[in-house]
Amino acid sequence: MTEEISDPKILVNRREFINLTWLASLGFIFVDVGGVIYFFSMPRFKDGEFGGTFTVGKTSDLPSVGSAPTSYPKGKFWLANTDEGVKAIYKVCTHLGCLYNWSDQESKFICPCHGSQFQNDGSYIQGPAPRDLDSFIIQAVDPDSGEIIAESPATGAPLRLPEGQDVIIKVDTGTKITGNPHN
Amino acid sequence: MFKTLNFTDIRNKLKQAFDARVRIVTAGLSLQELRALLRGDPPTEKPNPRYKVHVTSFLFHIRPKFYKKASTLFTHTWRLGFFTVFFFALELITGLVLMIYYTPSPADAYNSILNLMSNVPFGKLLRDLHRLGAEGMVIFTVLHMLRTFLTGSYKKERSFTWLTGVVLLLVVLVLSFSGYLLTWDQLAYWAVTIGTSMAEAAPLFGNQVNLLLRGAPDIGAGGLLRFYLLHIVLLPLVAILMISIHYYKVAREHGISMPAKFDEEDLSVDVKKEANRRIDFLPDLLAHEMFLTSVGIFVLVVMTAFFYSAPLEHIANPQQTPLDTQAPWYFWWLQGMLKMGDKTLMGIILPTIIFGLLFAVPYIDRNPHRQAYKRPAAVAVGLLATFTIVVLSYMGLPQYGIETPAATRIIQDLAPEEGLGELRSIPFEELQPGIYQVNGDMPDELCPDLLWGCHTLEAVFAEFSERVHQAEQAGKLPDVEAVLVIEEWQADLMKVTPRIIWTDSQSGVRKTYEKHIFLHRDHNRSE
Amino acid sequence: MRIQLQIFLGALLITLTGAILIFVGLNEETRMAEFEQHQQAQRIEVGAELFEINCRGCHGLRGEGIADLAPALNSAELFTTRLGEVGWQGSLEDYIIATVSTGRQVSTRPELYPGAGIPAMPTWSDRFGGPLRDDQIESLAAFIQNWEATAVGGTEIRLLPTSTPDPAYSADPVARGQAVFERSGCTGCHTIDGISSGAVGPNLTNVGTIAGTRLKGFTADAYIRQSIIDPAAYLVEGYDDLMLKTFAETISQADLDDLVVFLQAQK
Repeated sequence: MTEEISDPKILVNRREFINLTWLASLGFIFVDVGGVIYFFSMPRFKDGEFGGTFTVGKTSDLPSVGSAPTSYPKGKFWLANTDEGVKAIYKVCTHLGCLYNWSDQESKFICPCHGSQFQNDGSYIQGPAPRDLDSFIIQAVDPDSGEIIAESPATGAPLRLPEGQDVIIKVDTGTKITGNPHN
Repeated sequence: MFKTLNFTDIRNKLKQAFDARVRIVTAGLSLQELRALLRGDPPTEKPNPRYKVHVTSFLFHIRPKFYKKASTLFTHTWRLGFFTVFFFALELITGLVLMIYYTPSPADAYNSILNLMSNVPFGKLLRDLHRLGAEGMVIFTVLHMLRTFLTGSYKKERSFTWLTGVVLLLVVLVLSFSGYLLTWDQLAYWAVTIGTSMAEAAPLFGNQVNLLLRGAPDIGAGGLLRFYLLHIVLLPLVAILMISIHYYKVAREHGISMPAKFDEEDLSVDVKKEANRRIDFLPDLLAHEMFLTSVGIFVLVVMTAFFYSAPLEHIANPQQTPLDTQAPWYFWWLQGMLKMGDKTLMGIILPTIIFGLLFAVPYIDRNPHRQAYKRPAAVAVGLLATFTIVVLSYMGLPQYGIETPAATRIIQDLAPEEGLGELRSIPFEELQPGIYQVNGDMPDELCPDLLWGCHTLEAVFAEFSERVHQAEQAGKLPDVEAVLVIEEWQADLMKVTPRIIWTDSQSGVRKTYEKHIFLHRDHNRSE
Repeated sequence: MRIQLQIFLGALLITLTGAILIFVGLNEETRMAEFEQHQQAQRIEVGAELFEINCRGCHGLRGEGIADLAPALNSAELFTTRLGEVGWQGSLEDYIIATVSTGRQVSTRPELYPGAGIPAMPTWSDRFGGPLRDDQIESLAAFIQNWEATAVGGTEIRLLPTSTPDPAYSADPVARGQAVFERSGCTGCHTIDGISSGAVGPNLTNVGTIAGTRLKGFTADAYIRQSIIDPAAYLVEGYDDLMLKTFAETISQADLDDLVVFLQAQK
């Protein structure tokens, strides 16, 4: 520390400049270390874990169009093969979080908690739920190359699987598409 | 109303309000003062607001207002005390973060480490930092203690500070030891088993201490959990308390000790004035400490990013103790002592006496002088003690004092149970199937079919042959036959069998020692 | 001035540290994948050791199985049809882990592999009283699954020529015979005190003394030979017709001679 006051005409003297650079570098390292701790702390999911990707099978393994959806308990989704394609519907009701059931007799999803009902493609029929059921992105993967040929659209519409090809179907439970609110 | 607004007045009032806010947040420093600090100018007010901060601010209360220049000489303190606290803070932070992924149960602990290393970004870096930091903390604690002893900075009013320091040494050693177990690998498990079995040797309540520590007669789920809680709760709390007391006495009560000659010798007035010149905390000491911190962090990150890897052996196998098991390096001296005699004497009584003496240093030492040449006895004792610890540590190494049969020794050195060893370092392609006989007519080139030959294999085989010959000549393996068999076992998996056959000199029976080593193409070939 | 230098250096080192952290971050995905590979390799190696100690007695040293005792594990069958055969819904790894952990009270294919009596296969998991931990069973599963490459994938394993004798057993036919005894699967069913324990066939600890008295007109040598080449010809009282019939083909004449010498020496 110098004993005299620095020349007030100089806007930023050398010491001050270095100190400001210093503070800037501290800011940089804080962001950097913050990033390190953030990426460290964010959980990653392996295949087959909820939050990760589930391999459902091939096109040939799917149930027939219009039949009852298949339950995947670990993935917490129903795989529905509708006229418009396949959809992976999240098992959690969009009302208050209960797990709804499929009713074979009435061919629709009915939630036991407050009675919300949904079609086999997740669209809302009636009840206190504010929107259609949420769904997960489905990927159609080429069995030989491992490339993703087709993926569910962000609108939540079902995925039309490519014709004539026996692709591997994977459901990414880490990416959820929120259902559209009904009027 | 607008006509009566005086903008200069409002601006002044805003400035004052803002200034008041700044002073509240900074415990008394105005914006002007902050700027003066950055510019390296003297204080803008009287009384010096930079000192007041140390009274009004909680965080600054434990920091010193100033240090005397001579007491901050690099060659006096070597910044050892600073870096010890630095390492402690590093361990706290890295430890807190690592806790996110660790599970303290025997079934899950090792897997949680594997997960950390294979599925968590920066997982390896943080684990390595934590491990390296632990080693650093022990090293710097010991060096700091040594420095304090040699500069006589434990005398008179600083005696109690020394006491708290020895307590901290103990806490640091146990912190490091308790953390060692948590990976639940062979290294950890057996090192801690040996260490805690000394607790059993304690007179009177050895059994109870052992049960308290382990939660069971041997180390299992109970022991792991207890050690974990020691490591993350009890010991850190004790450490924080003791560090606070220790540091408060140094920074606020007595100041860092001056180099002895400034206290004891007759020096000129100018020299003394310069030696006693104040170095204020704000801004100079703070700037210096931040500089030291950045050097420390840089060195550690470079080491862990490019050079250092924390070891991880096979998962703990309570049914099998690997050959050459050893304690962590800071306990090698203890392991050395245990090889010399009865475990109660060597493991409990002598260490207690040693620590008792350490505690009593300020009270045993009656010499009022601090300069080295005026206290030859103390300096000699200190150096002798250091030397003794080094020698005992050497004796703690597995190579010392443990008789291993010759054939076992040769094959263990070639392919140790834990760790890499020369055999496992051979590149997979060089492992050509065949039966390689020592003493047989082996060609110089073992792999004529390979484009680049197999020099590593040849070197390892030569080493094996050499060791066998040496042992034969030393009379340990009479009529020896030795062979190295390499077979294809599965796809990408080779089986290597070194085998040594000799005649036992006492019974005349033909004996065999061999080991089956499986090597996969993808196994880790770097240590 | 010195303080300014320190601050400058400090800022420089801090920035460098940040740069190194970013560099490490960019490499993390590769490093983690490599670590995963190393760990899988280690699992297979540990599994190989465990297999040699615990499983080879019934499943053969190279997983080739022993007829009437235990199925082959290195064959295509395990990797293609087995799961469908038993109706197992999960993965092959789960099937292997479950089978090893709980063992088999009764064989699922008693006509082919009646096994070692009851239980047909021992229980291995320490949850059910066995000797192995979960991680050890996982390692075994990794090792067994590694046979897929040779069983189904077409990779071939070259065996060492067996004509080069092991130096340990070059001189003494009894020792050679013991080696044959140990590697041909005999240890899975027969007990010889100090060498093996198997409860399927008769105890052979004193077979050298007993062999000559079993069948009228048969010397000890002839009796032992017949037992190995044509096991069904005579059954010892209290034992079923379980002995492998193929030893005549799998054991060479020289080995058979050594084996007989060895057994005759067990008095």
